[in-house]
Order: sequence, then C-alpha cells, then structure tokens
Amino acid sequence: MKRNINTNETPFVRYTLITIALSFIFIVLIVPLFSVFYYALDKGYDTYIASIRDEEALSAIRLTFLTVLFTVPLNLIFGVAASWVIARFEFTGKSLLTSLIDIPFSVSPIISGMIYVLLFGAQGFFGEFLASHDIKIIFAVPGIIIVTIFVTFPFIARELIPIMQSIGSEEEEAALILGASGWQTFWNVTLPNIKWGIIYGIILCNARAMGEFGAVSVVSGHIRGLTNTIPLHVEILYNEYNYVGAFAVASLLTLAALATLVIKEIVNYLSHKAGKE
Amino acid sequence: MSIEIKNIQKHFGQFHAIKGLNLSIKSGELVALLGPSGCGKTTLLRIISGLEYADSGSILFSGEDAINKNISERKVGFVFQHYALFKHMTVFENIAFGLKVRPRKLRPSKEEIKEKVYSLLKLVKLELLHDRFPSQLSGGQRQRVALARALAVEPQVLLLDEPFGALDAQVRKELRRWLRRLHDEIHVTSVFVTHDQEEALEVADRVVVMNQGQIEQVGTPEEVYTNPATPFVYNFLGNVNLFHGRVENGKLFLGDKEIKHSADSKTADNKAYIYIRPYHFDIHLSHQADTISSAIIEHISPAGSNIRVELIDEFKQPVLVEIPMERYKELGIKKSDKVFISPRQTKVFFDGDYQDYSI
Amino acid sequence: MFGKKRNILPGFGISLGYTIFYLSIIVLIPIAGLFIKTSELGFTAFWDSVTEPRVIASYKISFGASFLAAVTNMFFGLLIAWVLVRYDFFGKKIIDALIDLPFALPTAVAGITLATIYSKNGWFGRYLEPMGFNIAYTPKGIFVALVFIGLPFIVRSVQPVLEEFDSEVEEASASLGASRFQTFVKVIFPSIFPSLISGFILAFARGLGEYGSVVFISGNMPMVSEITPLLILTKLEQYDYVGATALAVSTLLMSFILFFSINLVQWWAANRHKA
Repeated sequence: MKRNINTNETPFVRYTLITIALSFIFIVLIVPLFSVFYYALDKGYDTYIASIRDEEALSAIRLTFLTVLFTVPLNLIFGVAASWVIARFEFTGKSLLTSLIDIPFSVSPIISGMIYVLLFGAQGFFGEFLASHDIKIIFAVPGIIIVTIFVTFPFIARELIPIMQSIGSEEEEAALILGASGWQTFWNVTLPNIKWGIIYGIILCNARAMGEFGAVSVVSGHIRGLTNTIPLHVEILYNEYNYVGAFAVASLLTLAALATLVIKEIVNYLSHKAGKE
Repeated sequence: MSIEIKNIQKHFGQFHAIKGLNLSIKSGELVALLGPSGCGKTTLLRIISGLEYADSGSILFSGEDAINKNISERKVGFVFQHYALFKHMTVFENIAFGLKVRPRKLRPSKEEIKEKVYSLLKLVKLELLHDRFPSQLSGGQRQRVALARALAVEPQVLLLDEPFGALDAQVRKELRRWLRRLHDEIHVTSVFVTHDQEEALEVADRVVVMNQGQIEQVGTPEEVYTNPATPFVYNFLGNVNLFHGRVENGKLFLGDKEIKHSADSKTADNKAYIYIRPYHFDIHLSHQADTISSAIIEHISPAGSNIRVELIDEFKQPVLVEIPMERYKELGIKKSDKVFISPRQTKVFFDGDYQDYSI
Repeated sequence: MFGKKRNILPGFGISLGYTIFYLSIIVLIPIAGLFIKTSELGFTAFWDSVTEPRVIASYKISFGASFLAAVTNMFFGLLIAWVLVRYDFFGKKIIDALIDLPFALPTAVAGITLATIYSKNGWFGRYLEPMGFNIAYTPKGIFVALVFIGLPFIVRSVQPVLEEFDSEVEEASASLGASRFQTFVKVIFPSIFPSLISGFILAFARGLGEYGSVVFISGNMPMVSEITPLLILTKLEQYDYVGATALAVSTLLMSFILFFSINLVQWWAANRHKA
C-alpha cells in the first residue's frame, strides 16, 4: 500500500528534519561526487583529456572492457539458470543454494582475491600443475577475470529471482498446454516478462565489474600496461601524486556510476508502466 | 472425447488431497466440479490436464491412457482462473500462439492462422479488440480471450479452473450463460471447477459434488439439489435447517415429539440429523398435529416473491423459514410473535449412515 | 511414498546442473581451499596468528570504526528514509536516486576522493584541521569512509518498510489522543525496528571487509589505523600465508555469524507477535 505524503507533523518539525537530512546527504554524498570532477578538471580540459588518452590509461581501459566482456555474459547465463531453478521448482537444498549465491556479498574483497591466490598462485593447490603447463592465472588477465566473476555473479541472479517469483508460472503453464516446447516457452513467454530485470542486472553487474578494486588488487600483480584495470590505474596515479590524472580516470568511472543510477530510474519507470494491469 | 478417471490418489506431503477418486465423463458433456475450498477439485482438474501428476490411478481419454503423456501431447485446453494471458502479446497473438508454436510440419500457414483467429474472435465477440494488449481489457474480455486461445488448438477436452471467480457478480452471470450457449454450439467435452453452487446448477449438464478429496454425489443439477445423497450435499446446496434428534427404542424423537421414519423399528439407539429446507416449512398460529416446535419470530424480510422469517425455536436454535407472500398476509404475523412450525418434507440421516429415512 | 514430485515445467535438470557447476567452480572450491589451507595450520598456529598484537589492533580498528559508522548511519539513515518517504521537496527524486551512489561508485574512486577532501588542503580538511579534527590518515578517516559506504544499506532497508506502513494505524493512534512524537515512538518505530537492525548489520558487515574506499584515507599505520583487510593483503604480499589465511578465516567466520544473525532478526520480527 503506497503511503500518501504525510502532513501530520508541524511544518517546523518537517522543515528541520528535511534540512538535517539534506545537509547530511550534501556533506556525505554530493560534495565528494562534485569534487571528482573538480579535481579532474583542475588543470584544465586539455590536461583532462591527455590523462585519459595516456597509453597506460588506455590499456587499463582496454583491460577493464575485456574483463566485462567475459564477466557479464557468463554471469547472465548463470543468473537466468539460477533464477529459473530457484523460482520455478521445489527441491531439497534450495535455501542452501540461495544463500550460496549471497556469499560474495559477505566476503571482503581482499579475501575474495586471496582464495584464488591460494588455488592458482605459485604456492597454491594448482600452482605446480599450472606452472608445468605454462598457464598463468594469478598476476595475469585470467585471474582478474575469474575474481571479477566471483564478486559480481550474484547481481543478475538476485535481480531475477524475485521477479520470476512474483510473476508466477501460470503463463508458462498456459504456453506448455498450448503445445509449446520448453525452449519456445522460455523464449516467447519467460524472457519478455523478465527483460527489465535482465537489463538492470546487466547494468549493475557491469558497473561493479568495472569498479572492482580490492579483489583485483590481490591477483593482478600491478604490472603497468598489462594487468592494471581502471581502478588500479587510478590508485597508481594517486600514489604518484598525479592528482589530476587520478581524478581524470576516476571521473570515467564516476560517469559510469551516474549512468547506472539514471538507467536504474528509467528501468524502474518503464517496468512499472509495463506492469500496470 | 470421453474421460475415465480411475482410482486417482494424490498427496501433497502429508496432506491427502484426493482419496481414490473415480469418475466417468461422457463425450460432449459439460461437467461441473463443485465443492468448498480444499476439497480437491482444482487438483483433480490439474491432474486431468497434466499440470499435476497423480500418485497412482489412471486417466483415460476415449479409452487411451493419458497419464504418461506430457502436457503438450494431451490436446487439452485449459482456462486459468486469472487468465494467464501473455501480457506482452496482443489479443491476436495470444490466440494464435498455440498454432504458431506447432512444429513446422503441422503448422498452418499464416493465412490459415489469421482465418482461424478471426473466426474465434467472432465467436467470442471481440473482433474489434484484436490488437489490444491484455492490460487494456476488462476482466470479462480477458477471460473470453483466454477461452478463445484455448479453443484455437481444437482441444478434445476443455478444462476451466474457476473461470469466473475473479469477476464481479453481474459479469459472472452474463459469462455463465454465454459459456452454456457456447458449449451448446461447440460440444467439446468440458469440465469446470467452481465453488459457486448457483453457477454449477445453472450451467452444467452434470454436477460432481466433492468434499475432502472424495466425490459426495454425481448427478444432474435437479438430482443433486432435490435428492441430496449425503448430509454434506444437503448442507452445501441451498439453505437448509438442521435439527438434532435421536433414535430411542426404534423411535425417532426431536425433543419430546415423535417423528415418523422409514427405518427398521429395531434400529439401534443413535443420533439423528433432520434436514428441512426453509420452503418446506409451514407456519401456524396454533399447535398442529405435525408441529415439531414452537418458535419466536426474530426477523421478517422480503426474498423475491416470498417472505423470509427468521425464528428461534424452543431448543433456542435459529430456524429459517420461507413462506409465500399470500400465506404471510393470511397469518398477519410480526416480530416477537410466538408461532408453530410444521414441516411438509424432511430428510433424515442417522449418525454414521447415509441412508435417507424420511417418510 | 507421499507427494512424489515430478516437474511439469521443463529444464530442471539443465538449470540446476549449470547452477551447481558454476557455484562449485567459482565459490565452493575456492572457499573450501581456504578452509583446507587453514586446517593444515593446526590450531596453535592459527590461534597465534589471530592473536598477534598487530592483528588484534586491526580488529579493534575495523570493528570500532565499522560499529560507529553503522550506528551513525542508523540515525541519519532512518532520518533520510523518513524524509524521503513522508515528505515532498524540490529535487526529491534526484536525492532518492543518489542514495545508491556508494553502491554504484567504485571503491577506489570513493577512496581517493574522500582522502583528498579531508586532507589538510581539501575542502573539508582546511576547516577541520585548524579546529583540531585531523580526519585524513587517522582512524577518524576510516570512520568517515565507512559512513559513506554504509549509508545506502540502512536507507534502503528501512524505506520499503516505511512505505508499506499502514497509515490507518497511525490515524487510529492519533484519534486515540497520542501526540505525533508518541505515535512515532510507540507505533511506527517498533514496526521498522527490525529493518533498521538488518540494515545496521549489513552496513557493519560491509564495513568490516571494506578495502578500497578506506585504504587511501586511513594512513595505514600498523597498530593505529590499519584495517584488517589491508593487514591480510600485507601478509599475502610478504608470503606469510599462515597469517593471511588464519586472519581471512577468522574474518569470514565473523561475517557469516553476522549474516546469520540477520536471518535471526528477520525470523524474530516475523514471529514476535504470534500467539
């Protein structure tokens, strides 16, 4: 039941509360947001562009995109499979499965990176096997991708599961009775109904994959030009006191974050419009 | 196509939903499964459709075992209580869906599909709405689309799960009559589930009254209404008054008045249930030979062309009586009057026994 | 046998299979690896590692800062949720969307930004430092960063519950003579309390493991402003696998306990008014 705007408190109380809330938000959220762009443009527009066009920055951007290219589709397939199984069937161990999906949220990013070092690092369980086959995972691109998958795979699944649960399976049952095969039902009936959830899940997963820092820090080896993602590059620039450079590159990520928020609002709006029955 | 249901058992965990149920449905019949919530009627319908599997037993469609055919093979049409229309497809696309998903060899051409969909739209009188989306339709319109969609694949059996349950009373009445007329035109074997006795009695060829996973009675609407086979059916269909009597020394007593019955005079002492419909009572201003109780009038109200009289009898129980308008005027009764009630017709059941011992 | 389950909808096998496969490779095997590695340590080595002075100091810092930040966010988060749900003002929709900024913004960006603003020459630092509030490179900086990170958890936990709150109950309370404040304290607050606690635990747990947004502003001085995640990373880089794994496992266990307690809170909330 949507609550109506309430006017029971006295105007004085209302305005005081609003003022305090907005001040807090201003200090904690808005000033930092604004300052990213301020510091990025501190030495002028040309320096800003040069920082982004810098060779190392570009390779960091390339690596981040490569990571996202692998991470998002794999997580999408997982998200769809997991939400289909969890929302449509009953089986023992279902709630265990559901809580397993939440694990990356409760694990520190450092630990997330570390568990893969323990597996694939030189001293790890598979270290010797990998070395003898000349496969590099830790301190190389594959490690970055795997770690990013770990940290971001819950997003799409967690978006889709409640959506599929609330839609219910009647339309799918109707399609099956009308003679559709399993795949026909999935493509023609299930997918269109969850498309907004998929879009939003992809946007979220993408944003987090681009911005993951702690976990990637552990496995990347920080090899400039090779294994630095955008966030790692930001760190390097900052530690070299190249503030403009750091904030310039950071501004790209910030723009992506803002775009995520905007798209979220749009998706919410559109899916509410479509869902009105 | 006829349907044979043999010895179906179904459990949901510990809950025994259907207990050894048998039923025969003739080809072309329109049958209602009627009963209170939880009696198993929807479960039975879903088992027939293939949406649920029974634990044991069999379902035969025209003699052929259907139990191992999966849903798409059964050629069953299903209309859901909440329509289950494909929200992102137009009315036309919804109805065409079953034809479009057929494997290439069996799929009709685009023109054939168009023709079929339009003829169905005409049948359900929704031609002008072919390009609307479900969210733009009223409940009654949506239900008609759901029906057309189910009929498009020419099913041998049509199953409807509380098809009018989600609609308001007026629309429900109209659609009820419309369904009956549609069935008279098409003659598809149809089974529908309802908890509304008026609906079942008005629409169906035969009514199956169910309770707690079992069939209480199967018969035409007249049969189940005027000759209920069990106390449950009696109670469920129409208003009825229940009096608690007892059998002593082979005689039936209500309070201290004896009531004639048809059972053996050597019947063991037992509890007895005496059912009397409101319109089977007569009211008198003085004690009569067949009076079973005196009563005080609590409330009088009109009911169509009759008058409803609510009374409290001498056992302090409420009694509902319906008398014609003329009789009411004759008696000149009013609230708080003391009168005497006499039954013209009763149904008597003994405890643990479904035999009817009325005279 | 009762209730034999056969599935009508297709695809059970393939979707369950793929889900379990994916989870095993990505989650179960690595986490199992961690615990196996730890068990190789033996209890004494484990215990010694997690009770080193430097480690205990990092626990105190991480726990302390996370706790204080989560408490602060409880107050302001509740206030913000109230204001967003109940009142109308210019720009409300934008502010509402912005609450998710700490979720969406990469932690490194948050880290360098906060470090810069609160440092001596930063926009806030230049006023706070003369007043004696050294934020950057001290534990206070950790606190500030965790407030930024944790805010959305509380707001987004409380908001839906507030939105669903039955206005008729409030009206009943008012009609019975309660003042606005009494209605809030006795009627509204008890209903949203569980969600507030859930949000608190989420923010707290997140704060314990947070790295990117904290590591720039905290100064990272051992025993003073070194957070546990950083200490784990340091030990890894120094090839002290024993120390790193022991610390990681103990942190993980604490996180799991916290998340388990969220479920307890929700269970309690659902059942406390049942007969």
